[in-house]
Amino acid sequence: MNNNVAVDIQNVTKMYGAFAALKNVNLDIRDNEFFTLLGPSGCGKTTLLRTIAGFEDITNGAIVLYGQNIADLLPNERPVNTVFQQYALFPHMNVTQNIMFGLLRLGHDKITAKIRVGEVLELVQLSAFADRMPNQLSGGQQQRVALARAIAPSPKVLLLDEPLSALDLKLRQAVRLELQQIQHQTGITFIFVTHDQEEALTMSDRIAVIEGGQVQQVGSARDIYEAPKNKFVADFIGETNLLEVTVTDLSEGMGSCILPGGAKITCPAADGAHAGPGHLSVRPERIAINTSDGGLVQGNATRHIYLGTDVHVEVTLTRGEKVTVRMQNSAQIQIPEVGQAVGLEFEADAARLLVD
Amino acid sequence: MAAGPQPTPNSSTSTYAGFGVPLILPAWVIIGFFLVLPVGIMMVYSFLTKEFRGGVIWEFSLSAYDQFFFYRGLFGDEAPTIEWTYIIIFWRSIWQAAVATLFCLFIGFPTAWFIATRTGRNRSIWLFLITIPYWVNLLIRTISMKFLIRDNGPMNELLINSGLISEPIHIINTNLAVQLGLFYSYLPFMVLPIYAAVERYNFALSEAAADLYASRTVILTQIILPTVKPGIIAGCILVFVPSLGAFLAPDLLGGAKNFMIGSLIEEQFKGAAGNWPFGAAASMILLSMVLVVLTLYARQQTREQG
Repeated sequence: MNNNVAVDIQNVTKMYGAFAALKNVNLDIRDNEFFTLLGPSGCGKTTLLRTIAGFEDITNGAIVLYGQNIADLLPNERPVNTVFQQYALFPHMNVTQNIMFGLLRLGHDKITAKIRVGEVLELVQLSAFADRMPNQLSGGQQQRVALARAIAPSPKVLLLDEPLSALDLKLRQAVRLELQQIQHQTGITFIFVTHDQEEALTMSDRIAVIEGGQVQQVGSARDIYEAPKNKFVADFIGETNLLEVTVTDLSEGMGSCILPGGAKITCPAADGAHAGPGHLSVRPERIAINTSDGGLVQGNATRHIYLGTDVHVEVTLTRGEKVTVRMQNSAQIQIPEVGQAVGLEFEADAARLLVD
Repeated sequence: MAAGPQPTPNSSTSTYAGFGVPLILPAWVIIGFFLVLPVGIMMVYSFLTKEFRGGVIWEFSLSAYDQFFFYRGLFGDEAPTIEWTYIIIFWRSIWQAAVATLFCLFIGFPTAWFIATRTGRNRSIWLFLITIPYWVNLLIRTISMKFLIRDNGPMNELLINSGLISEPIHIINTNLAVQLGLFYSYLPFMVLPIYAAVERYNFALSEAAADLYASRTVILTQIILPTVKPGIIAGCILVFVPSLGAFLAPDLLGGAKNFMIGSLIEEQFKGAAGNWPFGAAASMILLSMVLVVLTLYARQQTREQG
C-alpha cells in the first residue's frame, strides 16, 4: 500500500428533491487500499458508491480518479467496475460470456479475452464452471462470477455493493478471507459498502463510518473501535455504554469530567469535545464489577443476559441510567446476583469523551 | 444476522395445493368439447365428398386437398398443374399477418417499455388505457376504421383542410388498410406480454452492462432484447396467429382484391356456393402451418432452457 490517492471525493452533495442523500462528503481513498463505507441502511453509503460508478449524478462537487474528474462521465466511460449486491449476472449468457462481456466492449479480441477469462476464473476458483449458465450456480458461485466479471477488465478501482449480504453466515466468513486475498493479489483498490460492522472491521484497511449522508469518522478498524469520535460511531461500532457526564476541562486530547454520582475522572477526549454536558463512552468489556464497596459509579445489578462464553450484566445506576457490563463466564469470576448493590470501575484509558 | 433454517417457499405445497386432477378437469372438458371435437370434425369433413347445397356426403375423398393444390381443367380431365390461386391467397395472408405483426412490434415494444417503467398507480392507468378500445366489439371497431380512412372520410378531410395534402390518400381497399386493421385489432396482444417481460426485467442488468463499458445501443441489443425475448416472441405469436386467419379486417377494409385465408374459409361455409370439405381442408392447412410455427418456437424455448 502507498499513499497515492486513488479516488478523491471532494465536497460531493447529492440531492433528491429537497432531501440530501449526501452532504458535502470529502474522502481520500488510497491506491491499493481496502476501503469500506460502513453505515446503517439509508445512510447514503450505497448512493456514494453509485455516484463513483456513475449510476447517480451528483448535485455538487467532484469525484477525482487518479487526477481525472470523472463526475460528468457516463458509467461506461469510467475505468471502475462494480460487483452488484444481487450480482446482476446476465441470465442469457454463460459464465465465460458474462466475464468476457466487458473485455469485448474494451476492444479485446476473442482470443486474448478468453485467456483473461481463464485467469480470473482461476483466481476465483471456478475454472470448472466456465460453461455453466448463471441459474445453474449456487449463490456463492454466482457471487464469485460477479467478482470475476468485475475484475476481468483490470479496473483501477473495484466497487463492491454489499456483495456478501445475500450469502449465508458460514459462506460469508469464507468469502471475506477470499476477497481480502484477491485484493492483495490483484492490487486493485477496493471500495466496499456494508452495513455489517464485523465485515468492515475484519476486512478493511480503513473504514469511513457514514450516517445521515455525512462522513462521521474515517480511520482503521482499531481507530474507529477504540477512539470513536462521536456518539454515533461509538454506538454503531460494537457495543458501548454512554454515560451522561459534565466535562470540566479539556487539554491536549485529555478531558476531565464528573461522572453520575459525583466521582471525577480524567480520560482521553475526542477532537472537538467541549466543556459542559457531554457523553463518556465505556465498552462493556472494559468495566469491572466491584461487589464489596466503592467503584466510580454505583448501582444495582438488574438483569443477566446469558451469551455462552460471556454474560452481560445490566446495572441500573442510582439515577436510572442503565450500564451493561460484559463478564467472562468462568468459574473464577463471580457474577453478581440480580438486585445486589455493585460498584463499577474502569481504567481511565478505557473511557473516552465524545463529540456530541 | 445469523442465517437460521429458512423455510423453502414450496415446503407445504403438497398439503395445500389441492387435488391436482380435479382442478384441471373442467378445463379439459371444455377444451375437449369445444376445441378437440370441432377440430376433429373439421379434419373428418376435409376428407369427405361435398354436397352441392352445403354439407357433406359420407364418402371418403381427397378431392378437397386436390382442389387446393392442383388444377385439372374445367372438367377435371386434364393433366394436373399446380393451382396457384389458393397458394397465393395463403401467401398473401402470411405477408399481411407478418407486416401487421411488425407494426405491432414497432409500436408495441416502446409502448410496453414506457408502461413497464412507470411507477405504481401510473402504470395501472396506462395499462387500463391500452385495454379501453377493446371494450368495443371488433366488428364495430373495424367498421369505424373503414369510415375513418375512406377517401372522403374524416382522416382525409382533416389532412386536406390542414393543407398537408391536396388529394385524398387512398388507403381503403389496399393491403395497407388490411395491415392497419389487423395492427389495430391485435396491438394489445403485443403490448401485454412484452409489458410482462419488461416488468420482470432487472434494471441492474443494464447498470452492470454500462459498468462493463457497454453503450446504450449495446445494452439494448445484447442485454435487454435477449432478456425480454420470450415476451416479444409470445407477443408476435399472439398477433401473427389470429391475423393469419382473420376475416373481418380483410373483408371490410381490403375489398375483394385482398382476399385472405379467413375470408376464403368463411365463404366455403356460407350460402349455396359453399364447399364444406374444401373449407375444412383449407382450415386444416392453415392449422398445420400455425402448428409448425408454434412447434418451432416450443423447440427453441426448450433448447434455450435445457
